[in-house]
Amino acid sequence: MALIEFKKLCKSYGSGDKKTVVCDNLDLSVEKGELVAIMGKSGCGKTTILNIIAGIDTYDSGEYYFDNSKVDIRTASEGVKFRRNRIGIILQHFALINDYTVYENVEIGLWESGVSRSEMKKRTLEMLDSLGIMDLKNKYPNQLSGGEKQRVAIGRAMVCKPMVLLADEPTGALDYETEAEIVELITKLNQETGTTTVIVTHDREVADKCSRTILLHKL
Amino acid sequence: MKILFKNIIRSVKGHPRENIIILLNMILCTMTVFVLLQNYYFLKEHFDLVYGSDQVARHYSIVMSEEDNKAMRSDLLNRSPMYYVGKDVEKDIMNTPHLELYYYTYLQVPLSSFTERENIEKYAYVDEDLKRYLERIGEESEYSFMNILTVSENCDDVFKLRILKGRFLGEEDQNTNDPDIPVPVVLGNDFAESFDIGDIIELDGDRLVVIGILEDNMYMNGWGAVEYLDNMILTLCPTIPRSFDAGIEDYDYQKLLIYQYVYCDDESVDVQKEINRITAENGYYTYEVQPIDGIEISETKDVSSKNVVLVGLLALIACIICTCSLGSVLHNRTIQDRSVYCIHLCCGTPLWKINCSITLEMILYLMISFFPTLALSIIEYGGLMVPVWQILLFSGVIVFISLMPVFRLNKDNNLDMLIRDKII
Repeated sequence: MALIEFKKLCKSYGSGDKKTVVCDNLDLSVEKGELVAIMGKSGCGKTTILNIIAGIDTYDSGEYYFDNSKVDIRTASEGVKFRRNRIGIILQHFALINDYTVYENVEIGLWESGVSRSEMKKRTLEMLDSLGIMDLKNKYPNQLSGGEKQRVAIGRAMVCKPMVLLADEPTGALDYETEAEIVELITKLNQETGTTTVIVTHDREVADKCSRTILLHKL
Repeated sequence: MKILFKNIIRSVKGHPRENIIILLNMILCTMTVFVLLQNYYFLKEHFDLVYGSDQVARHYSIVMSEEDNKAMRSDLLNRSPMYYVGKDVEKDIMNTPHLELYYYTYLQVPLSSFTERENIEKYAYVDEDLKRYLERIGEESEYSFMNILTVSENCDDVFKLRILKGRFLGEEDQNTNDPDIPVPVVLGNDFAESFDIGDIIELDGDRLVVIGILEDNMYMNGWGAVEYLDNMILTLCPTIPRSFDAGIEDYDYQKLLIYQYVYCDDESVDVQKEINRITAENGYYTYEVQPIDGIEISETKDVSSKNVVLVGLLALIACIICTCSLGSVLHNRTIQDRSVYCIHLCCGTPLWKINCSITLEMILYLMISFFPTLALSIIEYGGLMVPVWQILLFSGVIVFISLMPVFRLNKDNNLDMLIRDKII
């Protein structure tokens, strides 16, 4: 059963002579619990697809279904509502708040989830534990290594138990060894929690760890 | 709510330099607003006291031409029939609804008269001009003088004077010709501790009896000036002591309307028209009534419009400077925080909560910035002379305007900027 489904989706930027078509009648389907990699050359629309899935960007025509409901987001606030408790995002540069501790950086993911204070604490600690960074909980991001930072970012994205985890080049800023650890962690979380995961990557080895790879071509 | 609290704490700790500048800006802004409002209130209070419509706008001075003036003086001295016509005119004015004739003038009495009461010296003042005059004519030069006001018995109504003890002067106090009967006087509030009702004040062989004492801060408005009555003695008697009768003719002359005033308690009444009617009916000289009010004197209906424009201009300049400075620092701070806000948006935090946290933080600074102003006011004036809400509203508007570019900037925050690495 498809959790994410694009039907003849079109997306372009600019207008007139400067118009750049990124997606043209794109059909895409991601099943529940699937671990999918999206690959392609720069500018082929990988991040745009990620943005459309997350409700960050809009599409020009076609249809986008999320969990069998049509998604047609027109405003930023609609996008925020749509993402809440549905989508977790991790980025290449981790996007952590330097003034918050590791604990707080993970906890942010629950601030708008509507759970109680005690439940928030419990889930945050569980997440830190499962990611193996419990001992770092009082440290600040600038005291962490790249791999640790990405674990914190994964924790923030996963702590609200989203239906989909979107990862944009999650290993792009990491060394080879750490990259393997992070990919293994994402794979493990996918298997353990059944969270549908979409990874945008340039790295063939990362894609090989996924159950399916979608290859995009530049139009 | 956690986002509000956490973001404020983060922001306070995360931008110490910017926050100090913001706070200094707000302190400066609040103080500027305070000083401007304070000055405005002082101006307004003074205006209301001296020129305000509740006070003097209903008072008119009676003026006549120089020729008529001479003729009337002759009528008075010769007791011609016109003198009695003048008396009838006076009565007619007094009998006209809404009009009151009143009168007050100064008498200056040498302090030597009061030596029996030692403590009265503290109320005395030295009129340097009069001292020089006395020296010139060979009189003693060490005199100090008391201010005595000869008033009409309706001055309490006209100037809304309040009595602390006893009563105000009335018709029964008019007859002051018998030297055996002391002259009834009403004292200003400064004398309240030294004298009581019924006390007799000896004065150059004459005697004054205290029949009333005024409440404090009582005053009468004249030509653009306020006569404070706290250290005054009020009487109906034209000369004090009564043996000194040099001015009696002048007094009677004055009583024939010249130097008298008309009070009208109904703004819709055309006072000039009424006076013209009465003088015409009696075949008397023509009088001109001139309003003794702020409108006439300062050509404005409220606080001097020039002052208000100046105060307004200064306020505007101060506000523009503060707004630009505050807005600029806030804008730069928000640019630095964009990635943080994008992360919050990524986690499902709505933009309004982020804006709300920034606004609350600014309100916090606004409250803190108010304390130096409060301290300044308490040290200087023993309290806050300007309504708090006015200062806070004024400063609040400046803060709100400064926040506009921040809200605009935040509206453009998009997670895509974070994803595509356009911020970090």
